[in-house]
Amino acid sequence: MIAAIALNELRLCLRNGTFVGLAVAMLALIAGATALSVQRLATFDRERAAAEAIDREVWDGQGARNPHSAAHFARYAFKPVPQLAAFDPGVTDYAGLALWMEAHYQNPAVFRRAEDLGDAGRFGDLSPAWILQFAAPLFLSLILFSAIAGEREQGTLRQMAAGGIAPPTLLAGKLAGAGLATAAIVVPALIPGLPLARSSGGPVLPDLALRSGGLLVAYGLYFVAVGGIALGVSALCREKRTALIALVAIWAVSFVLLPRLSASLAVTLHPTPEAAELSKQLREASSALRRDTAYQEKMEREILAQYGVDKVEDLPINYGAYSLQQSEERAHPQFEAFYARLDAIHGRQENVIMAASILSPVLALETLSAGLAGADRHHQRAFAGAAEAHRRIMIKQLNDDLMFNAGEAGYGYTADATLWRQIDDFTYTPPRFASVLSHYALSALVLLLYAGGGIAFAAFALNRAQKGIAA
Amino acid sequence: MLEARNLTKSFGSLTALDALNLRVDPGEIVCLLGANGAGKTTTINLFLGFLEPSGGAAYVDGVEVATHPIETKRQLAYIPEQVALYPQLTGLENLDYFLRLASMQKSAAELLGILERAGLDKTAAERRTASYSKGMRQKVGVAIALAKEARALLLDEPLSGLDPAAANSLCALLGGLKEEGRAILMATHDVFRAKEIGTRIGIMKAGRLVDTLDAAALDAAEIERIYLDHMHDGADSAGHVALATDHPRGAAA
Repeated sequence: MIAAIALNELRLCLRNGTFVGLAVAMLALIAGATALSVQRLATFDRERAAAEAIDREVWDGQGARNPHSAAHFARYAFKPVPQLAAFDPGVTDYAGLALWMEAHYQNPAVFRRAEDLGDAGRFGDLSPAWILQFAAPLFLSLILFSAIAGEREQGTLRQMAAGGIAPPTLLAGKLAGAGLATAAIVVPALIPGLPLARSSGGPVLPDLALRSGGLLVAYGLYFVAVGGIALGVSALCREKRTALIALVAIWAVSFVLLPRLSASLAVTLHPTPEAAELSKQLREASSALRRDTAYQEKMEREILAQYGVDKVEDLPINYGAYSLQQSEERAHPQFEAFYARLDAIHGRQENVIMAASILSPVLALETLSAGLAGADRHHQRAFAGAAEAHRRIMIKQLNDDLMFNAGEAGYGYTADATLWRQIDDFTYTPPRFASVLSHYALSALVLLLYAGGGIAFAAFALNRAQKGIAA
Repeated sequence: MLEARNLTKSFGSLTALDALNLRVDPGEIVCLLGANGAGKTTTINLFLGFLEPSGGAAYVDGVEVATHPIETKRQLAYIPEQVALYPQLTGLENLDYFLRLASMQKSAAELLGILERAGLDKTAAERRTASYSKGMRQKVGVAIALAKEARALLLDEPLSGLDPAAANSLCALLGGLKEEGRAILMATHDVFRAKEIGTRIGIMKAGRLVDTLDAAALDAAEIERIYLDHMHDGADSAGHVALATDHPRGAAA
């Protein structure tokens, strides 16, 4: 019986000119966005591969120079964009795709595409996820507003009720029908494009499969929630026109206005420090050793004692290089604290948004979707962490070379390509989803509650509609 | 097949149906006559489980409607004054869909045969119902009842607004269903049609079944006179007062 109702819903949709028009528009929109996203991902991947090759070539070809000078010349860590970013780019355009791994500084990522786009960037990029998150609820509302109110208006609800259709059956059939109609648009729009998304550094099977499955479940829950709300509103309204107005109003407030308001509220309550302030804090972190004369004296005493000499000139190592490395290591906890503070601010901003997700399921989905796609803040932090680990190894290699091989030459010492070639390229494996799962437990729970709540609301409204059928 | 025992429905202080006792056996058509607000539609709504009784109970084949609404509805077919159909679907598709909702399936040929029996030819059956007349919609409603093989039919003013030919055709169909052993309860304003097809005629007034007549024993004019007597509060003086009863007056007349 559920299948009969669902298939009838689909048939009625296909015979409805408005639905067909909307469906074609949605299909074109999603297919277009998918094609653009896949093409953009391919561009990122190509540019990254080219940039990595150039970086290696320039590094190896820098000629003879002091290793510390080379450490300032430095190298880049390029972030591989995960395949699923073709579906949901998350913070990809805003978080930066490359990190400059220079001496003394743990730099933030640069090459933010949003900045490169200039004025055109304000129009943003269409992504399949954006369309499913924001446009699909409107689409679902437009196909479901008359699901019950329309049946009531034309009298078929009474006819169905007289035939012994229980409200849960009707609810399941209507939801399945809307699901079929949505799937009939979304699947053909996504399937030809998304599997073509390629990235040489994204997650691999089975993590990719797990993330894809997670996205399927997350969006499924979201559509159940939205469908349940739309059906419930349709069942509560006596006229389909009223249901349409109510649903469009809910969409405008809950899916358009609220996400923007919550984002504004989040940065108002927990502002991110200005770029100049961040830069100042980074400089201070970098100069931790220079500012700590007591530690400098202690450090000198310890190294002299270790080698059993009285003055630095008698050390068998280059004391300057030793100081540089000590300076690096002294700065590490400072950088960690700096980024932890920044991360905490972003975390508090996200908490505000999560709190607002009580009023809008799209906020929970946005968080979960970007996380599953591997394109959110947590994945960006993982990349930055890996790049920093690589920077520390690279700088230590360079400082060690200067420390142990400079000898009499001191700062006049130069190394050559032999050393440069010993510096490994940065390679990055994104975290497995299971390892970052805890970040998304709350948004998954909110979505689950929304789906359950949506169904419960629709069931309540349908029961009420059937009880009022004699009126 | 259909039975009301002290069936009562109140809306606040208003008693819409007052202790109705009524039986409709297989092979019977019982017509409920009465003015608007007499309780005819309330009776049908109670048998359909659309309303919960305030007192007493309605039974379908011995099963109480209020406690088993889904099971009892499976035995019933309902034909309202305006048969509601999906305008985007053809008559055939509507029939097929409503049958599937009753967990039944028949081939297209069988469904066309049923529609033809209900008076709708193949060309009409394959047309979208948006263009159907009221009579054609009623025929689809009857076809649904036929296809569903419902053992009891509830009809709420099914003849209202039909042209004479369509009304004749519907009455003939109902007569056929009666002969097949279906129990039919029909609410109507039409005294003459009630006499024509009814086995018994119940006269309702202000929520009460005030008289039950044997349709075969009285002519239409007599039925109309008795009905009007009741409607004009002249029942007592005319000597036609009878409380709800299982013994039709006509039998004694």
